[in-house]
Amino acid sequence: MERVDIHSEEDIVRARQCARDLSLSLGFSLVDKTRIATATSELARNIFKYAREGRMEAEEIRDEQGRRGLRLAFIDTGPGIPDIEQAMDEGFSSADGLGQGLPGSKRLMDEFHIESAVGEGTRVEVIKWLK
Amino acid sequence: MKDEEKTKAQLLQELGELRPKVAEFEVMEHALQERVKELNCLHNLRQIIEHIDKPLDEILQGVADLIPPSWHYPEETCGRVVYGGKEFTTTNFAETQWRQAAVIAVGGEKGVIEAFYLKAMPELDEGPFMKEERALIDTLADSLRLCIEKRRAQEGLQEAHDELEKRVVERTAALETAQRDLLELSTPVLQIKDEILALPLIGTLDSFRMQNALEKALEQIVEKRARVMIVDITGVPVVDTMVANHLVNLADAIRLMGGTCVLTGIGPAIAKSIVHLGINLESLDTRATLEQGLARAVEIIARKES
Amino acid sequence: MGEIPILQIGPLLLVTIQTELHDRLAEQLQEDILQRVRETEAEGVLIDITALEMVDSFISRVLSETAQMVKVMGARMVLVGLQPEVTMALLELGLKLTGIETQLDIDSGIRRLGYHLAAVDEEVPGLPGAGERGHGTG
Repeated sequence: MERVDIHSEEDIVRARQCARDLSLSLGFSLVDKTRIATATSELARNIFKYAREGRMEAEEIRDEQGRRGLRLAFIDTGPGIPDIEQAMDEGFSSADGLGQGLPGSKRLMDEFHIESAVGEGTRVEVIKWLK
Repeated sequence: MKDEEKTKAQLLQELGELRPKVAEFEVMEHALQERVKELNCLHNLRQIIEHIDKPLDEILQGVADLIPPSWHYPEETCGRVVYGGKEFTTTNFAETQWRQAAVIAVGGEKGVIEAFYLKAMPELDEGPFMKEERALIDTLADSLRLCIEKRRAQEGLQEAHDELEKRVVERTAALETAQRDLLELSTPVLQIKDEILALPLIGTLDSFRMQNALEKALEQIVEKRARVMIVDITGVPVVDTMVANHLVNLADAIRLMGGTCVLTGIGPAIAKSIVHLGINLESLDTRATLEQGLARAVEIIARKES
Repeated sequence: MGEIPILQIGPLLLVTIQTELHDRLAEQLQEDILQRVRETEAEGVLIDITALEMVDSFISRVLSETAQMVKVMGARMVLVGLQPEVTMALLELGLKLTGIETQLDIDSGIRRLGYHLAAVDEEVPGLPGAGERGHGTG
């Protein structure tokens, strides 16, 4: 498992590169590699912007059928999201596109899980499976 | 009467009566010994053949070695088993004219089991050989036949299993290729003119197919440096909100690549659904027929020329 | 001055982005572009993102803003070189780069801005001063 601590803008790039390297070694298609890098950028930036401190954990996984995939977890101990549903609602994002992070990442990846508690932090987990 | 009181004549008579009896017993004892040999032979045969894991060659050699001790004159007997193009002989083997053999009648590939006397022996039932030995060699041959057939059957089963697995793998690969080919076929991007490409969409447009079509379309735009993509939906039976969203997405993508999307093949039925469903296609150029779309494409190219 | 070179070709500026674009670099670039537009009185800005492997919401916003800012300064911005896979990911993210003019490549970008290249060389977009104004509707 790879881990990237996020507390600066450069770390967002580092997280992207880490995800990109792993997706390369797993053999993802060019389109999927781009989707992964884009989702990583969005979710890593969310940590930096809203929580200031956090980390990304990335690892190769396998399911019962032997299918391989990449799992990325974005974890922070920030303020947490009071209303997840609202955050996932596209109409709620700001016009400049900065609120796209969550619903957009969900569309880019194959699986998306989010847990958050006010005052404790947020955990977003995304998975992309090798086709 | 005690033996001392008997007359010489009486003793001689008793002796004369005993001799044939002793001779009889000797013969019976001899026969019994032979029977014991045969029994041992069969017992050992059983033990040899029962080992499923032993390679066949070992079994055939083992059976060949069973022959000398089981025959009438063990030191003068040698044995041989021939099967599958191989020969298995006893260490003292030499081919002679005094031969007793039985065919191992396995279907397709016969073998033979042979006993040879290394020198001339008294004539019995079958040349120098006994009828009991005939029975024994026939039994050996038959047992070997059964043993070989069983193994063949097992091998055959294993082969069939392996063959099946291989076929399944091949079939799966073929299906995957066919699926890919089908996908290729179902989303062809055609070059109509310089800088004008056409993408005829046919059938139901699900997410997967649209993504595939999108990827192909964009790649072709880059490769052919096209500026207009005519997307024809004459072959699309139903246009609902989801399909419309796919089409708008496609048009957006084409626009981002610096091209223009012209949507054609919109018949009355589809025109109605689009309006009734409140679908907004204003970001696209739309035309009823492919010909009209082509004319519009040419217009766009001409206009773009500075 | 930042790390991304801005090349002047006559009345146009050509910006070729070839490195990983992190947030601060993007903002610095925006600043540099505006400075150069003023210095050169450029009429058009071409931003070539052929080498960008990804465009996320931040980069999208910076590009969008830059287009608007450049417009306010009396020039036009055209984005070229958006790769197919980047386009697809961008759309899936929910972004359309509205308000930004996009073209396939530098050549089309220059024509879109209403110019022609004097030299008919596909590889090198001409030397400074080689561009000439045409009757483009753009």
